Amino acid sequence: MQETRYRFILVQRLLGGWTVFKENPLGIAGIVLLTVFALMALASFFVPLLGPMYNPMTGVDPAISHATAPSWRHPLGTDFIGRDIFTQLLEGAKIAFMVGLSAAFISIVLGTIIGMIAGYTGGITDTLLMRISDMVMVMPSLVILLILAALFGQLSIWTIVLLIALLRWPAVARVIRSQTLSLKHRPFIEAARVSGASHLRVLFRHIMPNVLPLSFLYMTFRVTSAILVEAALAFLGFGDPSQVSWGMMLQWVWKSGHMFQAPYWLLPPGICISLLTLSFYMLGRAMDEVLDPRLRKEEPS
Amino acid sequence: MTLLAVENLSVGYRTRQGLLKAVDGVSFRLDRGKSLGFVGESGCGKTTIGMALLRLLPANAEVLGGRMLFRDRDLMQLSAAEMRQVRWKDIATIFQAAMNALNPVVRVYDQIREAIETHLINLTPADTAARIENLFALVGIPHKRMHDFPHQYSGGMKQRAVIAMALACHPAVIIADEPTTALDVIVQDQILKEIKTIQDEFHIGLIFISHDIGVVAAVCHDIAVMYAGQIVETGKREEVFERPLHPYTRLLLSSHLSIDHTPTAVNLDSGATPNLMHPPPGCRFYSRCPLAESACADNAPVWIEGSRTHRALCNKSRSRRT
Amino acid sequence: MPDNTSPIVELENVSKRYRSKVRFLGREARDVVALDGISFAIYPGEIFGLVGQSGSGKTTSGRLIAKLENPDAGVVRLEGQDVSGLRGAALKRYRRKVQMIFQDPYQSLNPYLSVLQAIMEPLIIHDIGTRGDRLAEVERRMQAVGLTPPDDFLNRYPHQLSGGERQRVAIARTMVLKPEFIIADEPTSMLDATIAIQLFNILLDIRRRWKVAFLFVTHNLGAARFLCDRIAVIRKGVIVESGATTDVIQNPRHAYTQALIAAQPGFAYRGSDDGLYGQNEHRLHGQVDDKCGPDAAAADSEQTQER
Repeated sequence: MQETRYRFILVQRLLGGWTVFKENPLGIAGIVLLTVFALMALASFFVPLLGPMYNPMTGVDPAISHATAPSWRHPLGTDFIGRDIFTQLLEGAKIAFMVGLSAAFISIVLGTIIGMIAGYTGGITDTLLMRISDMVMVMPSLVILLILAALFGQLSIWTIVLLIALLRWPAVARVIRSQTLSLKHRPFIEAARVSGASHLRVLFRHIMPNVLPLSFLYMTFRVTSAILVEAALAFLGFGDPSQVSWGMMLQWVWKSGHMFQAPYWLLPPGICISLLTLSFYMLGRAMDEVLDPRLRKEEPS
Repeated sequence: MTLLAVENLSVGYRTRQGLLKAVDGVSFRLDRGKSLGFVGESGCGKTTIGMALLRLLPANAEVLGGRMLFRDRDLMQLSAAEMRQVRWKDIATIFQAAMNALNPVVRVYDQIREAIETHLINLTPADTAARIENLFALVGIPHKRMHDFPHQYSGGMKQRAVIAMALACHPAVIIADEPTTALDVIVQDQILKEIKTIQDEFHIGLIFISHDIGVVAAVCHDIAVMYAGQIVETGKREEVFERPLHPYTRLLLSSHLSIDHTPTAVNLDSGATPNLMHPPPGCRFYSRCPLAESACADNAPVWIEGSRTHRALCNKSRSRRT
Repeated sequence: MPDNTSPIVELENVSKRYRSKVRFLGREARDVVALDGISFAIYPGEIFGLVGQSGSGKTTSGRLIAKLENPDAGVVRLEGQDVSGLRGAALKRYRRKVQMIFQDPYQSLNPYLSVLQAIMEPLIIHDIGTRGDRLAEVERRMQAVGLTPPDDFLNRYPHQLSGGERQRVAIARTMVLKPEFIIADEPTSMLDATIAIQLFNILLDIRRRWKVAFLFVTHNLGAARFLCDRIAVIRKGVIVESGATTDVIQNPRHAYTQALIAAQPGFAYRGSDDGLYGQNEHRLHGQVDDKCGPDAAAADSEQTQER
């Protein structure tokens, strides 16, 4: 029946996309790393169930109330008040994902839509949107966040996420706008208009797939910058005190004077920040190839 | 006198899936004062031959075999420095849309002067100036436009400037690859005439590469028809175009739409070119050939002669009834 | 081959200019006049050729009929109605009747849409049929343009197709809406002659089967000779001559037309009698240097561009 054949073709195409992705070494590396971190994040839900000792915030080991080196009970040792570092690391993974993905997602959605509209409409709308974008872009996000934190006291993690997103969309918007401008006059866009497509359809069916790879690529940058901003805020003492993030861990190492005495405490959060941001980058590169059919390695046809 | 003698030239491109033989066992000669036209569809290897002769192949391509002799010197044996001297001084080139190869920030006069000074170090400035003025006159660019920038020229003028540059060092051979494709018909006509005039006057050996039969017929004494990396027919212009031997030549001819044409042409061609990475053992034109027999698929085609100068690569002997 | 006496598409005194955005030292921005009061009419089922060189305005004429742009003066009519005020639903209805094939096969297909999606797109836009109906229609059109078997092509993306195949997809895409008029803007200028002639045969077939009228925009007089019933020669936004194709080519009246004809590479081939590739009756002409176009016309097209 015609209908079934149509669905089959769709499935074929999705499988095709996966096959391409599989063959990209960066993509595999990125996915592997991300899976590791994702598992860590998931584990953070379950590990505290092992016992009150393993709660990242409050799980103080009654037997130990100071920093100790790694042992069987505490694979990465304990921090200065006896909390398990490994548990904290897991929790940090969860926070990083949350912060990174949400902030990046919001700023990408904002940036892409604004960029596309600006590029496609042109004229006054374009000028207005781009001037707003310029103004937001020149604001130093970390400084603003620090000022806001100083003014309003400690910010909750979700406020931080929102603020990062609101301050970081312009870079995406500019790039998407350029891309849209160059696409607007391409023959295949004109062909869509001649076929009778409304502006909305042209924008979302024809222009958007051509800018999405760029959006995704920038999303990976946004994730990395969001994680880094949050870590920086936490490190400086302006993060959400009720959340154990990697930045927060680094703050504790520093504040408690253990920076040079406890490498088992100092290194893991730092390494995790680097590796997580790296894995998002690699994922972005691989996604580029999947999303852009032209970048795929030649298929034997 | 023979300027160029190419024997069994093969050129391959290294791709991810393997070696693609773009040119396979091509042989031809070019005499002084004659023009040889290479005609065929895109992908047949004609441009690759031009690049190979100048040793300007891209990084992933290499000459797999055969010899290219210029005035009895093997071009493959020359060092890079020697080849640089040969290029432009002895063998010059005009590429398609070469107008885009003009440096936009340097005046045209100066670009030609640089070309001359780089290759002919013994000329005095006065001689150089005289030569440049002659060149501009030759290609029909008015004196007062000599010192303009390329963007001030029209498309036709830019192409003439490129021709002037090619002639600057009075080369023995010019390789022109689709030199008029980007131009309007009237301008193309003038440029083709100029190329012919210049060629006649200076006895330059011209290799003219094009997919347009009409253009090649207008300029060239001899024709080489290429298909899938091989020359499938070669001969004098009249021979090849009036008494074509190879079915592919006849396909090309029947696809040419001229203004005298009565519109009843029916082209039954499938258009499928063979895979140059794994070329078929027999005739490469087999899958598209309306005269094909089963033997053609397995047996490599042989040269059949139409005359002393005219031959084609085909398993069947075709005699044209005029 | 006009079927009846009233034109399907008509341009009446149409002008179009493009404003140059550059203002140089206070001088007024120079306008480029693309079309200067041109008029022509195309009849149902007819293939009408607009022959001109680059910058002549021929592509602009096509774009005006496709309503990608609007004229600055004059009227464009479809079936007698002025199309300038069309908006919204009326414009969409117009789009069903008037379609366009673009020049560059490497840019006229969305790289992110498969062949199936590209050809089905107009049907989705106009909400025609069920998904099953649409698939059937797509396959029918693919058969008609020679993309067979359809299954081989449906899931392919443009970068997996040759130039000729891409243009066939573009043609199939225009046909699913069953248009009455198609603008073919130099559809083969970037393709080899052997492919071009196959595409021309497809266009002729479309005209024969569905009585679609065509505006064939080209710089190639030979192609116009092959395809068109009537042609108009356009130069710098002005039509210098028009009429039945054979008439214009055999008895050109305007100097520019004569120059164009004289500049054609003088070559024609006498076909074989075994009819291997159809019947072509040509003769090999002599040297090209017999005739030379009138200097005035030639010098005109060599006009330099001072910026």
